[in-house]
Amino acid sequence: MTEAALTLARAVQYAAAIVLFGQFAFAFAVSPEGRLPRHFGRVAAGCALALAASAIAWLALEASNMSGQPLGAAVEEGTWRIVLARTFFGHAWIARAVFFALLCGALLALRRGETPARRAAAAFAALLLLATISCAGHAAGGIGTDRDAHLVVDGVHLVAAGTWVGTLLPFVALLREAALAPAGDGTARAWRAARRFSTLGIACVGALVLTGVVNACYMVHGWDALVDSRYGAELLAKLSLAAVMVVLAVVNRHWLTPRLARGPDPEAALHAIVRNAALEIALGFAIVLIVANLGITEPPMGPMTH
Amino acid sequence: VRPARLASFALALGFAPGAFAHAFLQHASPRVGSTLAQAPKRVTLHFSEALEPAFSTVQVMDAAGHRVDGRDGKVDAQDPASLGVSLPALGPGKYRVKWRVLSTDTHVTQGDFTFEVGPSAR
Repeated sequence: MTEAALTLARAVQYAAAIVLFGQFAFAFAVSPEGRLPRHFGRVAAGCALALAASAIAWLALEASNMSGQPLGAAVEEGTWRIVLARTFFGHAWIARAVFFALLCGALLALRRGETPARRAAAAFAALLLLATISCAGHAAGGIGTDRDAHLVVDGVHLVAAGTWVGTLLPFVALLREAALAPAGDGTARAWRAARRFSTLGIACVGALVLTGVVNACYMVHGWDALVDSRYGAELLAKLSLAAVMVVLAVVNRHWLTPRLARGPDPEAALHAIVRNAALEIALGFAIVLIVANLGITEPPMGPMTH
Repeated sequence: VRPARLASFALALGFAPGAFAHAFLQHASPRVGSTLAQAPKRVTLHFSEALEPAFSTVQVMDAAGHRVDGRDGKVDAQDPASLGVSLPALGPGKYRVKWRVLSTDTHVTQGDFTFEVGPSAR
């Protein structure tokens, strides 16, 4: 029960941080006009609400997990205060609460009008909220410099994954709008956005592979350990889904995007890109759910007691 | 940031040799299952990860299940992967060490083992 609830709280935290950061990554790297997506206000408000609710749930569940108390007792007896004051998770939670407050301030400022400075401030807070989720996972388990290095690698991995998956949502919305526009205008705008998105996607996949390999070196020792454990099975499932995402992205970039500019049948190509990107989004959030559970699953490194 | 710290950070990034996530008991003093000629003054447990002092405990019980340790178990400030507790002068007999620790990545592990103090001890 606690494991399922913890997985859910973590998944919501990941998903909300990814969706929110994707809005800014879209404005900076994909939108031909360099602007935030059309429904940014509502999306950001929903993400902020989800971030706050899942963070509070996560803290309560961790108080129960850490102390071994039932959830009600851990909340009523103030165990969560000990968690906040005296654990690494608690200190990271407080730091993230500060980032969240900064984010809320920047989002409120953005409501009064979009300026580059306000957008950059909100984007920076969203970036910190996404990257520092690494402080509440396996990466936090090392000692000294090893822990610092693993936290940085995991943080970069999170930001790269979040940029890719999070940007896909407003990217698909833009393509759908383009599909409704007059034929020539729509495909030309979609082509510009798709080219920009492809460049961003390549950078993200490169960073994901690099940091993913380093992460695997930390967490999994050998092929046998990978295939013989629940952690390994979940990791292989995650990698399989990610591989399908990469295949879809390659098809979009190398076969379909050129057809937007040169044909044949640019409208059909546009619809195919939308379908593939929507599938990538579904796979991306399936990976988020797996990752949320991986973070509380014992990696395959047995005790070496003597 | 000192150059040495930067260098070790870069090395850690490059080789990533750690064994992290969930604190496993790596070794203990007295050793797991050992028989000692002399009664130990402390029990010290070394884990694979840094521990959270607020939620890491160790107890030592005699054969009858009575707690005999000094109730001063704590994580070593110098070595955050090490948990120890003092012992009074133990008589001959079998003792059980029970531990429950929380690693800094929020995972709880627990376990127990025994050691024996031989008849010549006193």
